[in-house]
Amino acid sequence: MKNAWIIYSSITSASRIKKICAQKSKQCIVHQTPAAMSATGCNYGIRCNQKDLPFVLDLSKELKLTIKGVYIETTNETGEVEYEKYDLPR
Amino acid sequence: MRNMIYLDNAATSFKKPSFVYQTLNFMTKNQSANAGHGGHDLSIQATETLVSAKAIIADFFHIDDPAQIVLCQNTTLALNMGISGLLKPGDHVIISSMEHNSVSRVVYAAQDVDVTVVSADKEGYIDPQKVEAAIRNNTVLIVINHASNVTGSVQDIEAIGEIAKAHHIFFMIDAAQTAGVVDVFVDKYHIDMLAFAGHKSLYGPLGTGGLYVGKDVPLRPILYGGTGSQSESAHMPDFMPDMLQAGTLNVPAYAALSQGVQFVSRYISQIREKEKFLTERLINGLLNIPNIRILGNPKDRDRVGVVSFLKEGVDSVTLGNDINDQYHIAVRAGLHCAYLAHQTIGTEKTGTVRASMGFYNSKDDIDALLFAVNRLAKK
Repeated sequence: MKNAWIIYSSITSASRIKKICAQKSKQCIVHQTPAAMSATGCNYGIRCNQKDLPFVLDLSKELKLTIKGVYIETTNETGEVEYEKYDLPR
Repeated sequence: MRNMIYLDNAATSFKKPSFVYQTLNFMTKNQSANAGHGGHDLSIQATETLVSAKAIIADFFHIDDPAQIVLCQNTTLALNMGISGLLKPGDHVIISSMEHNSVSRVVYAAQDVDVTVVSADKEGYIDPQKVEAAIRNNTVLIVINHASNVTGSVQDIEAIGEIAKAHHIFFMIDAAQTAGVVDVFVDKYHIDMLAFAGHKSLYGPLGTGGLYVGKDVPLRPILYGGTGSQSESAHMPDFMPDMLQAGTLNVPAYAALSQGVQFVSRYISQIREKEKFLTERLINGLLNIPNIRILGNPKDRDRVGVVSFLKEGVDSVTLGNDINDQYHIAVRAGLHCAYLAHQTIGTEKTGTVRASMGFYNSKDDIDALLFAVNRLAKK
């Protein structure tokens, strides 16, 4: 099972998504994003199961929330966590 | 301290619903982390509390996107953010002669901005056609006090909103006296900016208020600082609410405010009926007291529970002090930070005594004030 990270401009946006996901019984967590995903600054994102990514993307679009990036979290052979950039569908 | 009868709800409501106190207490003890400025669980919980509070407030004002609301200390700050953040040199702004100083002082402080003050009638009502007649090519903003804190007169913001929309001018409402007692439909009334008090008729704690900003309003921030977002930038973020909201927010107070808003939503018809009943009782009583004059419209025009009156030939502050000292009733005397409004109704020299009712007042409170005024009017 892989996790997806959806990065927003503000924690307010991330919190709104989390609230609606919870209402739909989709588990996700608001997190400050690691530097591997956002080189500088304070950014916040939603970490959710990858299967829920389409739902979160649709919801973000519906709420007109700006997404700064999407990443898929994986663990490599040595046990290190890696983040692979996910290209948003146009 | 002696027991007082509180009739100064236009300044702030004194008694609040029990949930407001309980929430303020609980949140202060358990959820006082810094919202939006951290990734730990407590900070995120605090942020989620704010998000929930804004959703409740947005619902109340019929606002579709809660992110367009900035929570702040009071209506004054909200008005400053909206007016100073929009006006630029060369602009023209229209206000009414019923404005509070929190509007008039802000527009007059704006550099190289022309101001037109549209006069209300002697009862404190604005003719929307006069607002339209004041529009110029460079008019960018109309700011209207929804209800006067001096006379209680409620303006026809629907008509003025139509005019603003037709002329592509931004429309701002000062809802300090109406939020919680008069319906405010942001979309229906074409309101681009709405400044409201949380601590008055929404029954939130002191130090709560907010500003709604429409998505098309090109506001500049007037407050700069940490937002918890885009920290790598030397500039404020360009998205709401972060673009206007810097520094640590009073999460417990806003959580408690959301309880007040829910209370008002639940009992809105009872609140209105009670305030109407108390206001009519006070007006009818005052009309029967010799030497007492009611300012504004006593009877048949749209109003909130704010009643100003005077004893002929007596300074309002003296009468207000006597009501306080001899009868232990809290009313507000003087100019109520609204000199323009007093000029309009002709009381700029004397001020008025103002009684303002709230949901927690009783018939006995009104009767006690009438008894006091009756006695003092005979002296």
